[in-house]
Amino acid sequence: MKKVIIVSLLVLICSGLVVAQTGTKKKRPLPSDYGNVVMNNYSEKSGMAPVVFIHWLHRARFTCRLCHVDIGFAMKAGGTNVKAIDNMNGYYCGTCHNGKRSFKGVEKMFEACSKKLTPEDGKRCDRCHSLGKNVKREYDLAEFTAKFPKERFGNGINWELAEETGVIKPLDFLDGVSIKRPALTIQKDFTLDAKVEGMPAIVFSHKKHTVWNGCEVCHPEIFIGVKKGSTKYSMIEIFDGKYCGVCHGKVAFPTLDCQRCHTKPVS
Amino acid sequence: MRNTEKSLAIALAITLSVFFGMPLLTDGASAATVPATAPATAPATAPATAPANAPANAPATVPATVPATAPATVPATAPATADTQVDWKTEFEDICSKTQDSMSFTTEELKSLVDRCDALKPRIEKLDETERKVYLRRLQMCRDLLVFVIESKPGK
Amino acid sequence: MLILAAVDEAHAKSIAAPQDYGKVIIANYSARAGLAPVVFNHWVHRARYTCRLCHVDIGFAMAKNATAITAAANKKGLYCGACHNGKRTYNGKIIFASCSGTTARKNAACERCHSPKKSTVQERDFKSFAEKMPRNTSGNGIDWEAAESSGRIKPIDVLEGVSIQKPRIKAQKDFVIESKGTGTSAVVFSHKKHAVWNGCEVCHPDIFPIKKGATKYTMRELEKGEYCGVCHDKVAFPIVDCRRCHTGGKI
Repeated sequence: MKKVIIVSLLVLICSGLVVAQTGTKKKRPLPSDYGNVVMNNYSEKSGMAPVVFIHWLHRARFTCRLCHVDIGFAMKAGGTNVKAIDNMNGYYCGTCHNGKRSFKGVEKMFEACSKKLTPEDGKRCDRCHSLGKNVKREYDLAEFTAKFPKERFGNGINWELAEETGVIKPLDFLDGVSIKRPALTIQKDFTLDAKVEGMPAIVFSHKKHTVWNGCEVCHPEIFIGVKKGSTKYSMIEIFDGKYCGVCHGKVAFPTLDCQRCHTKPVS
Repeated sequence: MRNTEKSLAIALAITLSVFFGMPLLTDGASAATVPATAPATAPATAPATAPANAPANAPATVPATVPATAPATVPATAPATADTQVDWKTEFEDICSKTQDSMSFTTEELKSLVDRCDALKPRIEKLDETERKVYLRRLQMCRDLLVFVIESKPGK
Repeated sequence: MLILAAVDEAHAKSIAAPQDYGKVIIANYSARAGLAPVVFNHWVHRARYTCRLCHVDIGFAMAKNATAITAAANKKGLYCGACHNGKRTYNGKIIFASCSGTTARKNAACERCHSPKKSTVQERDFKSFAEKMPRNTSGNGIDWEAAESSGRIKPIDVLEGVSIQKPRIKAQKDFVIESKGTGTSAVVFSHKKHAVWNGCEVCHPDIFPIKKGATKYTMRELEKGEYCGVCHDKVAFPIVDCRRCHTGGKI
């Protein structure tokens, strides 16, 4: 009898937990907080605040492919396992944040993680190790993106249009890290029909995605189906952070904005 | 008696459900980080076969940038000397600069590139921790893309 | 879930007075600033704006204290500050600025929102407003749906400088939700009636997943403020008013 109680309780509660993912309205992060990733593989263990990585500032300057393919960052919080020594050796964050690399408009990126620290370095550590601390940010989203085309949700910026019109020119190549290669041959756009009656179809544009991602960000890890239509997925998986949702859940424009993808009117 | 039994059952169920329920609550992104220890048997066989295969498979129509012979020195137990260090990076850049045009290669060309990836892997595994971590991942992504393109070729 | 709900035996919920129904007490940081918590009255706002405007375009959360509004955010034009900035007008009248910068504790302007107990400074008189509206049982005692469809109120759905309009997606058809063996009549859910106030994004996909029938829930979840209960527990007409939904009607 006791066993029956326990087993049935388990089943009920586990199923309850699965259902519990819906039913309430999730809180939307502020535009300046959207895309922030907390990294805490080792920070707290070393007595530091976890790192808050700010996506919007980096994506305004670099393509997704540069960091996620060339530098090798994972696409899940905590997935890369970055250590201070990696940064000091010039990898991961340390690829750019090494006190030497400069880009247009930014002189000598501040150094991440030094071997020897002085009391003055506290402020520099706080620039990244900032979770829970009231750190004054160097760049303000509203000021930085004052002239960028706007969109709703996410960061409130139409990043795609910003790149297309030349407002931002994200860098896709890093000396000593990226491999020199010829220009990309772009795959064609294609239509995905919505299964719910009345929803406009989706026109998937490879071109718009490869500008930021090249090939390797999505293939084959996220989209493994080699033939179009061979991978079956629905909006449920997408909202759950899979397939399109890997990016369009927390970093690129969120899937809350239905009409960004569902654009082709139902004939 | 019944009451204590009931509350014990509830407490146990709650603990167990938290334990089992946690995986259900974590978000499951599909872009899982590829584990560094991919098929352990491949490196053992690849070095032996790569030099043999590469020249045989190199078709006449391979673009000039792909060397007709794979680097001859791919012994599984070569120490990481300065020369080998430079070589591995050049090899890596050579293979993985071609992913952009992979759609236009033939299956043989792609297979030879994949074989070269497999040959390169043990050399990267001998590097120091950070370099190994970074370049194994990059090599894996590059190899996976090439395999993906092979599989997507019609008539396969 | 069910066992925990059973353990937490249902108490009869206290019924709010009509003018207090939909009141939200916001108390994240007010005490730290030496001010009384904010008393937000839904009825004043829903008579003028759609739910979608505030909860989607401006970005307010739908749970008490969940938005974590700061005075700094208001001053920047976010959240309350999107309208309460001393510049935006409604019906020709300027909307008072929120968190206008002075730190005087006894500033009357602060008390319009940071109302100390039993001393509200509200311009609108609920009674005189409600008298003009079609009536219904429960909640505010006002039939908001009829008020909107008859044109007595015209809730604004677009805020200049904040809203970005998109082509409308056709509202889905009405459908029937059968009652499960309790003898109560079926529910006819009307997308059209809800979309007027909410658009799509208020409910989808957070509250209701897209696939019909994919989520199983019962009245218990609603009572806890989930699913329909996110709104129809404390803000829209409450679920104690069974016959508002259980009409047994056919489409």
